[in-house]
Amino acid sequence: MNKIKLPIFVSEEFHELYMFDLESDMQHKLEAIDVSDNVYKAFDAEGRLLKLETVNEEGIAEKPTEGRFLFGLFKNVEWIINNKNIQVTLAEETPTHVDELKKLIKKFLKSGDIETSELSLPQLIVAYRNFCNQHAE
Amino acid sequence: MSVASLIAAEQLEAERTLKARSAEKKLSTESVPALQKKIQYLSFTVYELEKLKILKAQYLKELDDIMTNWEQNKISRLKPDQAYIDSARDSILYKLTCISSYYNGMLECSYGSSSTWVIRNCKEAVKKAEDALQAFIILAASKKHLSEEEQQHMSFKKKKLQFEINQNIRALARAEKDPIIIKIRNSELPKSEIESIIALETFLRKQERQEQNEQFDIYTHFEKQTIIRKILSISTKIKKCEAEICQRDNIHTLLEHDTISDTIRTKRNEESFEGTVYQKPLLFSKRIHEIYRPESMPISADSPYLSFRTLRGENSTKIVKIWQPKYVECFTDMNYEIQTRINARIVFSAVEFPLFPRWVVDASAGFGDGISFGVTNWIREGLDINNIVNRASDAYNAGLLAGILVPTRRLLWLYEVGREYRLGRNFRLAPVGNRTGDPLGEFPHYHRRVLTKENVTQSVEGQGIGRHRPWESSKHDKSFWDRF
Repeated sequence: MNKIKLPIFVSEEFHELYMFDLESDMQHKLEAIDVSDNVYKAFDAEGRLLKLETVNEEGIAEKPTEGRFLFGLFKNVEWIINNKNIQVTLAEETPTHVDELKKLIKKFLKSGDIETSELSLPQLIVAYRNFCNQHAE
Repeated sequence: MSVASLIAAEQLEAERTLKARSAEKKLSTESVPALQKKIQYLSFTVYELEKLKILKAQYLKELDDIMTNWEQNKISRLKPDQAYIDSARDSILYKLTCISSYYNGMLECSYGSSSTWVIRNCKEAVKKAEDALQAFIILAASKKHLSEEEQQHMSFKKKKLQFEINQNIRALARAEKDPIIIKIRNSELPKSEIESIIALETFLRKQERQEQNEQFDIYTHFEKQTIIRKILSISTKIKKCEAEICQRDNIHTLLEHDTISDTIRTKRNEESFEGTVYQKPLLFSKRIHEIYRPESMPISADSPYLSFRTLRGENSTKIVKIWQPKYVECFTDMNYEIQTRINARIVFSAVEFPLFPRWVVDASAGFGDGISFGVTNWIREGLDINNIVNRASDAYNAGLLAGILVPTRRLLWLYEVGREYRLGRNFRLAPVGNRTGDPLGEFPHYHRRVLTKENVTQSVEGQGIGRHRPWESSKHDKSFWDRF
């Protein structure tokens, strides 16, 4: 069975793209409630779709704890505890989302005025890493 | 247990507390003078009570002497009838009972800020009662020697003073009807400033009334006090003339008490009513919800009873007014003080109070103060009812500790689990941060999805829900304010 190839790319509703070099970084950064609400879409470095899910301590899929605030006195207010771990697994063995990932990376590199039309996926990943590092500086 | 022993016990307790705490060096510099003051007050109370007992015995003896003298000399022309003697005796006994009861009340009130004025007024009341009784006894003793001419002179003087009193009473009634009461909460204001505030308020009220073309005599709070003092001084002067009539009337009123009470019960649902009622203790709302007169407490029992008039549908300061029955006129000043100082709201028969054991009241108040972090204490201070709680007691402090621990434990738990609150789909608030492992998420933060104008389900680039605002920056930020 293939392993997830790092880095992991996580797209938030296709309007934000995070890149994580470690799986644990991603688990810390993302909040369980957002994962549970399917806000994110994740890919590995080869363009394979990843499956994100929240699990309890025993590794069984479980949603974060939620409840009504003040016994439901306010209709739209809920409380949430992000007390579940985020588990990431491969959703597919063969990379079928390479184009989608390339499109995403290009979109964000475009905002940095970087020419990306001729670059392959590994080159795009390197370019995106440089772009992120520049931004961090 | 007698009142004296109760007071003595209180005094001992206060002294013991002072010594114990001083020994443990836990007593703050502020509370030492307070406890010393309390001991001083209680010593004073014991002294005054003993003095009263002696006075009571003395008066009774003097009355007996007078009666014996009358019997022996057989002066039939001026000899009072038996009803008069009985009524006079009852009246004196009643006054002394009232004094004792007020001392009981003073015990209850001796905690907190109200003790000073309660004691001051008790002193005044006692002095006036003594004067009145002395005057009555002098009159009773000298009555047989009065000639017709002297009686006429007395009668004329009485009429003159009565006229003067009536005038003042009318003025007071007008003031009661539509008073200008200016309350200045901040006592630290300079005197000149207070005076200017009063002057301004009075002027505005005067203008308002003049516009209505009404001829009102305008009295401020202080003017009202002056009027009452004047009435009291005149009342003392004419005690000699008034005594006989007053005593007879009082006894008559006293006997009719039950009827008055019944009338109140029938009229309680009407807009206003007047009469003798008991307030249910521990009901510190702005209205008297429940009135009752316990059957177990007859009029002659060692309990003061007050007369109330409730005016429904008015402001809190006017809802309950206390009227002392006229046969205890010696307490009028004090009564007025109660009415004004506590905004005529806390009307309680002090010896009945509280219904619950003291430790229950203290512990409940402490717990409430703890759980609300002192807000309830502040409210009690505002309502001027904090004197019922002994904040130095163990029960209060135990309750306070428990009350503080409950919300604190809850807050600690909330901090530990890092609870977030979701308001709708696009906003989440983490007031104490959360514990997912992200360093930025440890701080209090919020999440917000900024939507595009065109599509209400799509967020703007870099403005998604996953961002820990305002700490986390984004590659897409164009200005600092994009963090928010």
